[in-house]
Amino acid sequence: MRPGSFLMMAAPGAAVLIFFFIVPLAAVSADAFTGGGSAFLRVFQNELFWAGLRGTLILALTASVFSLAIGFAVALHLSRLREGLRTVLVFFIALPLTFSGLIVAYGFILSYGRAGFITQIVAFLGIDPVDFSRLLYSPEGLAFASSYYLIPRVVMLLLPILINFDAAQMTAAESLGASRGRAIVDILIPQILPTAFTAFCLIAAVVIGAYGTALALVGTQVNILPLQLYSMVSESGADFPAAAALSLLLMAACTTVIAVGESVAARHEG
Amino acid sequence: MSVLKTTAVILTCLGPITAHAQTVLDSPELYPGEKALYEAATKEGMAVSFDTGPTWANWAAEFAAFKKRYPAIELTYNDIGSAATVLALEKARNRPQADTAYYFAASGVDAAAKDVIAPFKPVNFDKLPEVFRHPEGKWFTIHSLTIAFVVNTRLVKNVPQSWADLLKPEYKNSVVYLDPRSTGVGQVLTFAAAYAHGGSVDNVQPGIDYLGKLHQAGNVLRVVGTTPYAQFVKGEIPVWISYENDGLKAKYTDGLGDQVAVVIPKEGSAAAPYGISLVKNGPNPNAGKLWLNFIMTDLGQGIFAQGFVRPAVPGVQLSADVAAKLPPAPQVHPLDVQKAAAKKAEIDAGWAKAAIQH
Repeated sequence: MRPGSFLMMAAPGAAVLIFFFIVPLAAVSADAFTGGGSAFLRVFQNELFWAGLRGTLILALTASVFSLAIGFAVALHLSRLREGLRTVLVFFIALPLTFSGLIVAYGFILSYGRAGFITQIVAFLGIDPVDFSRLLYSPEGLAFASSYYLIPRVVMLLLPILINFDAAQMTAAESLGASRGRAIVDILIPQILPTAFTAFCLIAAVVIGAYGTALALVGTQVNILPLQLYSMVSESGADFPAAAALSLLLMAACTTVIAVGESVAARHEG
Repeated sequence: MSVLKTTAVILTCLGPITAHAQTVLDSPELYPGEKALYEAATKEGMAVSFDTGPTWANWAAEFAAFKKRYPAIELTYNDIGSAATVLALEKARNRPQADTAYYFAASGVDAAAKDVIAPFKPVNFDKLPEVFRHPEGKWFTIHSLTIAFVVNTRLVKNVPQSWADLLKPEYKNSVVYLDPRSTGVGQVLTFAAAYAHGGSVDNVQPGIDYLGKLHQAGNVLRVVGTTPYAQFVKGEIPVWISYENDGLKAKYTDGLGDQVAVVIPKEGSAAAPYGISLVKNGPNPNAGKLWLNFIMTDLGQGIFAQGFVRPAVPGVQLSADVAAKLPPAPQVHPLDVQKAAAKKAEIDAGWAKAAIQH
């Protein structure tokens, strides 16, 4: 390809990156570094920040491990189905990716909330609706609701690998006396591990930065960084440099996690 | 016939919405100089009103009545939140987009400090309580909102009447309120709880202590960052500490009727001033003034009352059915936002200590 045409092809993507990422990032950075980094100091000195960071990482880890396990099982099942049936199922599994986090939260409230229809059904079975709905509004419930749109991402990433996996290797291992589980652990898992790790990092980054679902579901007494950032910039917040600093830190965390995942994937492809 | 009388007549034959308001040209002036101001505003043709979300505080009805009276003026508005409004004015200081800015009055204090708003004294300005206005009219209160318990009577057996009631074990996991760090409502309810426990605008600690007690008792279900109105209507929230008008809206407008009880707690509460300002060097100054004057006339103030929001101008004539829904509440203290703003950092830090999961 001639250099000129290469530039032509790259221009639209570069323009999007510049106008919707680099420029806003520069503006936020300018805010964050007013006062020579004192804003970062204020963020670090706030004891809530460290507790929030811990809460964020715990949430990301829980939701990601859970979603990865379920996503793997779903993808494995899909990879063994007929092509036509698989396409239909993948279409439905991909639907949650198109919803905003707020809508997902609201859907869960309509199902599992105090007056939700699933809550009403279990109430007939003698389970207290107050206790049942409390689960949804807790950090665990947030992890559960987040998995709703994380699992499809995992499935989309793992499915191609599992479809292309040569089942003959498994048959060979089993004919040599390995048990089914043994064959999965020794042959299948090592081959999909790099992709699984990339998927894990990607969804962890999504959870670390997501705030819509959290805001609508658990309330701001749960200490995670996106909600902390929200409380700094909303109605009565006033310390914009500190908020800008925190948003840069949050972005750095997401970027780091994704970079780790990508570098692992790149090493294995090379 | 005096202005007040005219308005009273208009108000008494008022339907649910101000259907009988006529245009300014074929009716008596609401205040001296109205027609002249309208003529000047007509040359501008529009007014840009920041942060007046139509579903909030009956703005939709204010827009409709304004449009009817001043057909030549287009009103455009947005709904971005108080702090964001001040930020927007600051960022656009050299080329202001907005003519008027509406916010929780504490943001008006901010905006005055940042010198992005202009002094303007509308009609009825002198009638306002002193804590409800800037001395030069850089901001002034157009309505107040009172902290009340909004109770879902299907989810609780006994409707709590006081702050003390809320601490009882029967309200375990029942109370939802807005975050004092990030919302105006949250701050005001902290002052309301302070007033009820021997505190004041200069001493907010008793309010923070009370909220801490509520958390320790296990009675707080959630603290939220955005208004959970829809969740309340769905039946997700037993007791919501919020503004009185949220409860009245659910009761009368959204048809929940007796499923909702609205209680101003008996030990004491606070009324939050919501203010508006003329933007400094705004693009349409006359249309902006026309809009601000209209909001402050008895007519404009009465429209707030129809939306269950207490007007800021004392002594506005209300129709009997509207007045019945907003009974006098002597235990309510008008909040001095200048002093309240000085306490923000204390509330942020103190509340986080008392309530957040560390």
